[in-house]
Parts: sequence; C-alpha cells; structure tokens
Amino acid sequence: MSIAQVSIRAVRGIRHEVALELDGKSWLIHGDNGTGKSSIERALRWALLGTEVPASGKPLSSEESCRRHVLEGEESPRVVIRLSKTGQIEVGGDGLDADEAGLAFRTACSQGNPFLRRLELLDFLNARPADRFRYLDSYLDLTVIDTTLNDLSDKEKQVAKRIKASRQSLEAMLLNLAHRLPEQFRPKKTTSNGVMDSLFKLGKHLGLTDGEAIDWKSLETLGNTAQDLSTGSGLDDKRRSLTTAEEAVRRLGERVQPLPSADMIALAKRRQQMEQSTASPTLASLLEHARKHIDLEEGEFCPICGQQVERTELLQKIDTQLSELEEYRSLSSEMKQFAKTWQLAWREFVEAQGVICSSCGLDSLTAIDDVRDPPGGSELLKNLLDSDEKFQTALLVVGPNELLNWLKATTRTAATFIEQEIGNLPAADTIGDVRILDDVIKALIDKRTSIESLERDISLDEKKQALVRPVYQAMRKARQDVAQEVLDEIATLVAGYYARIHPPGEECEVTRAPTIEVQRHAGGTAFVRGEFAEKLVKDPKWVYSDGHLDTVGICIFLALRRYRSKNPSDSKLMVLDDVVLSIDLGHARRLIQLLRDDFDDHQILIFTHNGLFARWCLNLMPGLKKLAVSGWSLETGPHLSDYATTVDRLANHISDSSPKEIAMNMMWLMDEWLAEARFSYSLSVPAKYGDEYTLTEIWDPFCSAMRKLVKLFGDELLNVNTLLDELRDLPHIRNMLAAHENEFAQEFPRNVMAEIASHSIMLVKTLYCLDCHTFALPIPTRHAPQVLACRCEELRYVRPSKSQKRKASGGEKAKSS
Amino acid sequence: MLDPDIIYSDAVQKVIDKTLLDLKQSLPAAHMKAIQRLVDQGEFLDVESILTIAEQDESNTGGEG
Repeated sequence: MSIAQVSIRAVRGIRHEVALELDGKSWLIHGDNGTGKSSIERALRWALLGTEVPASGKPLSSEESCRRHVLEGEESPRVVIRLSKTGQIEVGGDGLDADEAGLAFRTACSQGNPFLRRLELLDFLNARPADRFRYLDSYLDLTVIDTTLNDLSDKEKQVAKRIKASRQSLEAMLLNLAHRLPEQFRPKKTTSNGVMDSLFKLGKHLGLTDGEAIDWKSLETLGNTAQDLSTGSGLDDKRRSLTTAEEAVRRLGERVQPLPSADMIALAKRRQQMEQSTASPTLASLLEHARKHIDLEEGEFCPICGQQVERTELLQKIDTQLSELEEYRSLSSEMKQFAKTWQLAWREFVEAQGVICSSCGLDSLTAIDDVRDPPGGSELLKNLLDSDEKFQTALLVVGPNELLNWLKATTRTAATFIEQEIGNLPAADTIGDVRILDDVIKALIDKRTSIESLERDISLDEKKQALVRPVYQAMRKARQDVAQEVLDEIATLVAGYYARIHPPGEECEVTRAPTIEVQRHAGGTAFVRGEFAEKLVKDPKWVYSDGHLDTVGICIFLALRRYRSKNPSDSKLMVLDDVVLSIDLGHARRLIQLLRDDFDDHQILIFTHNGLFARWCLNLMPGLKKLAVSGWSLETGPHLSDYATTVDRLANHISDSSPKEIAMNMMWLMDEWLAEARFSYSLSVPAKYGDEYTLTEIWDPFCSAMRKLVKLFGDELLNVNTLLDELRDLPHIRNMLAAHENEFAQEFPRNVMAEIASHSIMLVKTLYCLDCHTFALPIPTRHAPQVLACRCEELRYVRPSKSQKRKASGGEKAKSS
Repeated sequence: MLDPDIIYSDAVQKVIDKTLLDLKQSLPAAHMKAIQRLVDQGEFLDVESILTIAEQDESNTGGEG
C-alpha cells in the first residue's frame, strides 16, 4: 500500500487545491525555503497521523488557526489521500472520512510514525530516559498486551476489593457472635471454622461433646444438647436421668452376678436321654408284668414270664424305674427354673438398656465404645422375650455361659460410661455458659446460608485471584523481557546505520555509533551513550557535532522504521522533511545510499531545499521522481511542477498570455532548471553567501560550459549554440521582472517574449530528458567526454571522431568553394 | 472476545510464548491445560475467558458446604 495521489486545500501555505500525483513512487520534493514544501508535509501529517490539525477560528490567533490558510473561510481545510490499489483517507472540517483500506493505512502510520522533520531529530536525545523508553516502546506494537495487562490488573483489583468486602461482611457477622462467647473461648480467626472451633472447645469444656468432629451436623447436635441442658431444669433432669441409669446398671450387675452358669446344654442332653428311656415299651410291659405278677401268690408261676413269682425282685425293679422317673421330673423342673431365672434377668436387662439409652441419648448399648454385639446377634435375642419355650430354645442356641459373659462385660462398660457422662455433666454454676453456647450456636445456624454464600463468594474470588495474579505477573515479566530483546535489536540497527553514514575507518571520524542502553527498572529507561576519540561519553550531546547528533536522530528513526516494516500491515512510508540541514553533503550522500540500499521497500518522500542534496538523491536513487516547488504566493500558494509540467504550462502561456506572465513562467522553469544544471555539469560559480544562486549567477558559467561541449560535439549540439545566442537576454529579463517592471513591457513585446520562451523550452528539451528526469551528461568524464546522454539514453549525442570532423569540414569547404 | 484469526505481531507472539513458559512452572496442570486451550482458540488475551477457568474449577470442585 502506498500513496497514489494527494489533494490539499487551505492548509498553511496552500490555498487552492493542489494535487500531487505520487503514483505510489518515491519522490523528491525540492524547493526553496518558504515555497510550501512543509505545508504539504503538515497536510500529510494531518491526514495520516491526525496531528497538526488546522482548526477553525480567527486566523493567526492560535497555533491551530495558523495551520489554516489565512485567506480561506472556516471549514475549508481539506486533505484527500488516495492509496494505490484501493483506499482513501479524507480529513476536513467534518473530521475524518476513510474507507477500510484507508483506515488500515492510517492506523499503520499512527503505530509506526513515518514522519521525520528537522526539528524532531534531537527530540530523542533531549528527552528524559523514561520518555525515551516510552517512545521506543511505543513502536513495539504491544498495545494488545498492554490492554490485557491493564484488564488483568483492573480485574485483580476488583476481585481483591470484592474479597475484602465479603470478608468484612463475614467478619462483622461472625465477630458479633464471637464476642458473645466467654473471652478465653473467642476465636483467633473470625472465620466460620474459627467460630465453630471455639464453640466446640466451649462445648468440650462444658462436657457436652468430645469436640473431635467440627462440622455443621455435629454443631447441630451440640446445639441440641446445650438446648436440652439450658432449657428450664434441663441440667437437673439430665443429672437425674443419668443417676437413674446408673442405678439400673447397678441393679443389673447385682442381678447378673448370681445367674446360674451351669452347662445347660449338658442338662438338656441328659433329659433327652431320659425321655427316650421313659417313653420305651420296657416301662409299660414292666408295669403289666408287675400287675399280673402281684395277682399271683408267692411261689406260683407267672403266666407271662413262667417263672415262680419273686415279689421282692420285681419291687426292686419298680423302685429303680420310679427313681429314674423322679430324676427326670427333677431335671425338668431344674431346667424350667434355670430358664425362668434367665428370662427374668433378661427382662431386667432390656429395661435397664432402655433407661441407659434414653438417659445417654443412645440408640442402643452397642453405640458405646467397647460394647460388642451380643452373642447370637441382636435378632436371635429378641426371641428371648416372646415365650418361655422360645426363650429356652434361644438360650440353648446362644449358650448361657457366653450370654452371661457378655452381660457382665456390657454391664461393666455401661457403668463406666454412665459414670463418665455424670462426671462430664457441667457443674451447676456453668449453666450460664451452656446458655451462651446454645444462643450462639442457634444464631450461627440461623446465619448459615449467608455465611456459606459469603464463603463461596470468597472462595471463588480467591480462585480467580490465584489465577489472574500469576498470569498478570508472568505476562508483565514476559513483556519486559521482549521489550528489552526488541529494543536491543533496534539499538543494534541504530549502531549499524550510524556506522554506515559515519564509517569508523574514515580519517576524521572520531565519533562512534551511539549505544542505547535499555534498563527495565521502574517503567523502563533508555540511555544513549556515545564514543568520542575512543572514550565513552555519557551523553553524546556533550561532544558530538550538530551533524553527528542529527545523524543519531535519523538513525534511530530509520531503525524504528526498519523494525516496524517487518509488520505486514506497516505503511512502508517515509516522509523526511529537511533532515540533512546540519549534515555535510558527504555524509548526506551516504544517507542517500543507505535509503537506497536498505529502504527500497518504502515509498520515500524527501523534502529538501538543498539543491546539491536533491541532485545526489536523484543520481543515487534510481526511480526517485522529482517535484519542484518553484515559488509561492499568498494568493496562489506553492508553484508545483516537474519540468514536464512546467514546460507544458509555459507552452500554454506562450499562446495566450501577457508578456509578463510568459516571462514569469519561463523564469520559474529556468531558475530551477539552471540551479540543477549547476550541479549536474559541475559549473564553477562565484562564491555567494547562503549558496542561493539564481539564473543571473549561473547563466554565464552555463553558457561557457555548453559552448565548450558544442565545440567538442560539433553538429550534434549545433542548435545549442544558436539557442544560447537567442537566450542571451535571460539574466536581463530576470532583473527587469524583479526591479524594472514598467520598462519590461516596452522592451519585450509579446512576440519577442514568446520567441524567447520557445527557445527556453527547446534548450531544456535538448539537454534534459523529461522521461527519466536527468540531464544529458558527459560520459565517461567531464574533461574527455565521448557521449552526452541522459540515464535512459533517450537523449544521446555522440562526439564525432577526428576523421568524421575532417570529413565534415572538408565537405563544408568543398561546398563553399 | 478477540478474533482468533488475528495474527499477532512477532513481539506479541513472543510475549505470549514467554508468559506460557513462565505459567507452566507456577500454575497447576489443569489450569495450564485450560490456558493452553484459550491460546489455541485465540482467547488468551481476553481476561473474562481466563476468569472462566476459575469459575469452571469452582463448579467442578465446589458444591459441598
């Protein structure tokens, strides 16, 4: 993207619209001081940077109003820039109007300033180190990073503020509760956990909890306990209840202690055996035999056994059987009694268990540590209460010994537990603390939703902070690292460019390339150090000449331009306004070479009043086009032209303008053209203060040099001789125009003036190529030219050889004879 | 939200790369993974997107209370 056309109106020295056809090329805009060059540069700045804005208001009353052309009305300043391919930027009284491509170009210009003017060269060196750093840093195109850093910083501050506010609300809420607690139990940290911890400590101190689990559920249980104790005579009731439980356990112990521990299973087996024997046919037959046997007399024979009746023996047998039956009955009774005893004891145990659980707030005795499940399991033992039969069966299954052992152990443990519970009961004089505990727990539980909500907010914000803070710190550090890296790269470029303009090997070069030291403390600083006569100089301004300092300024600008141009969206534009004022032409020539070699990807607009510098620019930079600003007036503004345009304009004037107008236009052409010819043909002119030569001083040396060339080139340049003769009055005409206007019309009537102007045009066209904008110069040297040619060789005059000359002169002689 | 198609300048890209390198050492792996995803989507320079990571983290681990 480059500038194709610029149209300017009513900006500073430009009144009427001036159109520059730049065609995307690099241009040299050359003209004397006060001819409006800088007005063009300022107009470009206004359009591309938005600076140097011409304001409305009373002309000359302020700097802004001075930027408008003083003869124009309000709202009239306007600059239109058309870009190559597409894109347009227009600035005027209505502000900025640009299409997408135009805006992109303008943004690129704002981000990587393409303008450099003489007065800005020392800005960098004169600036404070911190400002220098900011200036360099602004070229790094890290706006998006800086915006992110600002966002991160703002966000972190917001989050921190929110955390602080939430913490304050939470703290106020909790402090209000914490202050109600006895002093030694007030929390050190006013967090919900801190307060809860204090409450559990107080609860433990009052013997209401073991204080091991600190959570909301346990707090609720503790609250219920405290409430029970603190309501009415709750503490006394509790004490009574536990005393009852203690009594129940004591009784149970007494009941359990003498319980029979015989082997009931062995008893049961024996009875079973007896059942079988008593239920056998032996007993029935024995009784039948006995009845019949008894009916017989002693000594008779029994019909059953056939034996002689022996009553004594039979009675003995019956006695034996009867005693066995007696034993069975006794065993049965013993077992029944055994089971009954156990059943009664078990009922008492169950009752005692109910009392203990109720008093101690337990679901069952197994909730007490060290109390195991009963043998046979809880389900089996439920049957013990159903019926005598079931009880006996269950007891046989469980085993009375195991059950007895379990009962004894459980009774002992329960007794110890209750003893502890009673021991833990708060003393009667601590009931006030119990009530406080109850109140605070209630209040805390009431505020649970708010507390948890605030804690959630704080937790989330802390997570955000924990994420944002390291990202901010890492990005900030990375930005500093990258800035240092890139600025070091730029500093190296500056040193390289300086060495190209002031090569270290040169005899009179005692300065060395400046070094830019970037330091990252505070917001960043940039120090410029110099080297003079192989010694380091803290500030180049102390010893560097104005020219050297200007070169430093130019090199910094070029290095920044080179850096920015790596960006694909860069404008690749460079506008240099009189930047070589203090630089001698030898170094300026190296600057031109540097621009040519390293910035051929840029569209460069060079504004200068220095004719020799302009000449060298044209010679050394192929393709550089020239725009001459040949004069300026308040009414018409700058007179812009290249020679082709000026020649065309003069040709038009010849046909229909007054002698004076023809003469003025001719002088604009010839003044500029001869000034350039002075350098191109290395004309020797008398020394003049300020080096401001006009046609008057240059004409005679020019004619002299041309006539010498005519002599060498003969017929090829013969018409030049004639034209010089015809134009001999040029210096006189210039003087007349300047000082003797009244006599001018008498001396130079229109036809004479038109003829002289036509000859001027012919002279220009003979020696200057309007295509490649160069003079037809002697080649190979000025002293022994063989050819006179412009760069494109459209103009080419060949010096005839001696034989050709002889032949030509022989032909002439023959013709004359 | 930033346009993921934006091609940042070399300097911006360098800053992002260096930042990520530093964060790898200071952020938990899960957060780093989420940050890398933002970089890939071109949303790393959007602060609200970074905050979303903390919010997602909260919804994954939060809820108890």
